[in-house]
Amino acid sequence: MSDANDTILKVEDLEVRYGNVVAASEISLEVRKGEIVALLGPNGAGKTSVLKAIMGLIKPSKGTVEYTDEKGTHRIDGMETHMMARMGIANIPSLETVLPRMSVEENLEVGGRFLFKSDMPRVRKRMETMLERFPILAERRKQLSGTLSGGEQRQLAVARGLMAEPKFMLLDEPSLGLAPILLRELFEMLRDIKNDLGVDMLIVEQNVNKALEIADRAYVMRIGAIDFHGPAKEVAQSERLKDAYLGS
Amino acid sequence: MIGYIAEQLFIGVATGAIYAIIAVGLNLIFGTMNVLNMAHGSALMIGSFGVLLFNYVGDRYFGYTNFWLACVCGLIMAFFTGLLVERLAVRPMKGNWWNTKIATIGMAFILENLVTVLTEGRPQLYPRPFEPTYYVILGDLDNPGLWLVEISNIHILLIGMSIVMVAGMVWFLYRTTTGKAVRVVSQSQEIARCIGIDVKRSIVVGFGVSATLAGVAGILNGVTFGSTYSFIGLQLLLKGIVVLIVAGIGNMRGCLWVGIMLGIIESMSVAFGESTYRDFFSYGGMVLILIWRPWGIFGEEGRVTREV
Repeated sequence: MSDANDTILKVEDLEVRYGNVVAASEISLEVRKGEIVALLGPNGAGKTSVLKAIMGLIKPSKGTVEYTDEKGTHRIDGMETHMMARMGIANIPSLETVLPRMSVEENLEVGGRFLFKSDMPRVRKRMETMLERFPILAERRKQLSGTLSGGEQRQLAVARGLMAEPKFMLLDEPSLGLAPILLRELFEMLRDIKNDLGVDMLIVEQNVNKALEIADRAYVMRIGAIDFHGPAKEVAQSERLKDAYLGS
Repeated sequence: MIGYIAEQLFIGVATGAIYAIIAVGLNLIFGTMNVLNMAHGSALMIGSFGVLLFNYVGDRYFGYTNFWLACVCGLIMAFFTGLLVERLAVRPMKGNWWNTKIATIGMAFILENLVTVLTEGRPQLYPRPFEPTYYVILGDLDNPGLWLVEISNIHILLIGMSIVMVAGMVWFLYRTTTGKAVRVVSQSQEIARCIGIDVKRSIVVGFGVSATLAGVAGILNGVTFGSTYSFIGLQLLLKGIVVLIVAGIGNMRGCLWVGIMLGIIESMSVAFGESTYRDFFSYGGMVLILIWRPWGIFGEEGRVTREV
């Protein structure tokens, strides 16, 4: 179905250390065009460390990361995060999701303003598109985003990421702290975004079932290394997935 | 009597305006870095001495002095002091607020003692843009009585400048792209990076702007009191911190109101009491207000500081 030329993100032999502690090592994974890839694993497996290393928020101690866009393939390990954002990679962090002392509108505005510099009409137009896509945000557009509910904040974070008109999006635990009833809505929203806007994604997630419902392929991490990977359906039925979570 | 009170009131508003400008600059750095820049007073002092330096060099070698050009020189020197402090005392500390605070205190003492040595510790006479003239607002100069109220053009300049500075800060932070970047960085450095903001550059810009504001305060203070000395920054920094904390961190307009309020309280305590009671009233007032609202008058409830 796909060959090597379709690769958007390619991570090879990545290692993340905090001082002497190795958080993740020998991480190799790739995301291809038109895919949602899930990076799964129990708490403390090192998923978020891998994601942060890809985004340059922490420096990987070893390994390479390559990103391919229409202009070619670029080595992005060691690159500053804000330069990656300017290349069209959106990153949705999990803990600090929104800028609490800015209104919903301003949160969206800053999502595009620093990438399209002076092109404010473009930013405003994109903002209106986003507010149409997320009606709850449109209702609360003047409200300070710190006063939104958890689910609304998560939507705002995704919408702010999309303001950059990205080709590729990294999401860190989008389900973290959300009520179960909101989970389905959130993951459906992510699938729609991929289908409508053609944004490929790498999702780090603890909620295995939900993530596997929308993912094409999945990697499962266990104690700082990738245990196994494969198409989402196969991973969902695999015994090794249970082992990874329950220990064996 | 009314005239005396009014005059004290104008002096209070004018000195309060200086406190407000200092607090606005501190606020900007506290907002972006969550760090109290203890070297803020040094930028203020360098700014005020920059004016003297320009006039000294101009007078000695070119026989030319100009107050306004000297101000530009002072502000440029204050700006670079800000960049120097960021480079030497803030960036190497990698975001550790406690180390940063100590390092900025160190910078403050280095700079202030350097100037003390250069000026031999003597207070320096300060030039004025124009001679103070008093305008009668109320009453009759020929028949003073109770109702004579006057204001000097220096005081008008001070009050006007502080309003322009605070309004300029609000415009910068809420309307310009660079200002928005500074505000995003203040809320989350991680999100800032993810949406394409060069965080390092934003912090440098923040320090430059903040130090320039300190320079403005230093020059205005020199003009008001007609002299300046090498430890002026340290003394005014404390007042700026009082204003910042009482106003509440992150609120620029609040700094203006509280700064002016503090100025008035001080001048009134001098007018009706004794000058020795001045700091008793200003710092005592701060303690009372903080018991009532630990997050400041205009601050957000619960946002005391992240520095605990």
